[in-house]
Amino acid sequence: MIYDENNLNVIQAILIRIIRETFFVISGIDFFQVEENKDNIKYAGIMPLHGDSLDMFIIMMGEDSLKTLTAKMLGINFVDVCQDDMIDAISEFSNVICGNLKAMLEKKKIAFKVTSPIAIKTSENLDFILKNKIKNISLNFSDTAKETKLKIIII
Amino acid sequence: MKILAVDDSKVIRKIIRLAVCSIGHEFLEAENGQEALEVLQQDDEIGLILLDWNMPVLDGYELLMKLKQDESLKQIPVMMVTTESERKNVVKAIKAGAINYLTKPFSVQELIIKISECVGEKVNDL
Repeated sequence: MIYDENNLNVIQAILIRIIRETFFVISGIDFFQVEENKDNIKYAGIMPLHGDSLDMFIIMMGEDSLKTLTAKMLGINFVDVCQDDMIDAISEFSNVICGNLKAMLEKKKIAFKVTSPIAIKTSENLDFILKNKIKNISLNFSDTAKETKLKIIII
Repeated sequence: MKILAVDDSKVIRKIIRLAVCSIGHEFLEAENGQEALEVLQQDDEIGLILLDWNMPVLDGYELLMKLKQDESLKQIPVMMVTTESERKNVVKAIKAGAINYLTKPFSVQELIIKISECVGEKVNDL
């Protein structure tokens, strides 16, 4: 089902809405879609998805972007954010975004199950996982000041 | 009032602590249902439990069922904190005795309003 172009467009449109709403609620930052994200990716939240169509959701961020979002979410200063908080935050972002995506896609008859998210610190952009995937969703987002960025991949 | 947050996410527990302390209540925390039971056994002054649905060891629903079967704990109000995909479970939780729910993502202000509803305070008075 996922390999139908219409479905990809539906999932992408819903995902963009969820990303904007989720981060605006938790951080007050209004994200919009951009062509590319040149941030040095350091953290990733991964949610394995079980279903007929979707396999995996990944959200990736650079250190400062994740630190900014975590600070705003917790209402603390940027310098006071520790690595544990960042790891936990990106894991929670995966959880909330996939939870919302699941609920909205069920209405479109696209079903999958979410499991527990995994958060990792990485030394490389995880784009390489797209190489052998015929169809995928890869989206980049930034705030208006282009200071806080994130990347989303669904395969 | 003492308010117990039960969630495996440290970040979510920190956000709840921010909300709880900002309206003058005392914050207690547990990272799963089993740990929550231990906290509840040691403290009989807890007036509200904020409960995540999906947790390791003992999940939110299992804990809710245990609370409602326990004579000394069943009167403590419980608010479920869930993701949108778990929303259908809210009905199950309300039937089991939860008094309110909040879906993620939420802002600190939304959380304050929900907590205030649960403890019978007017937000304007805070």
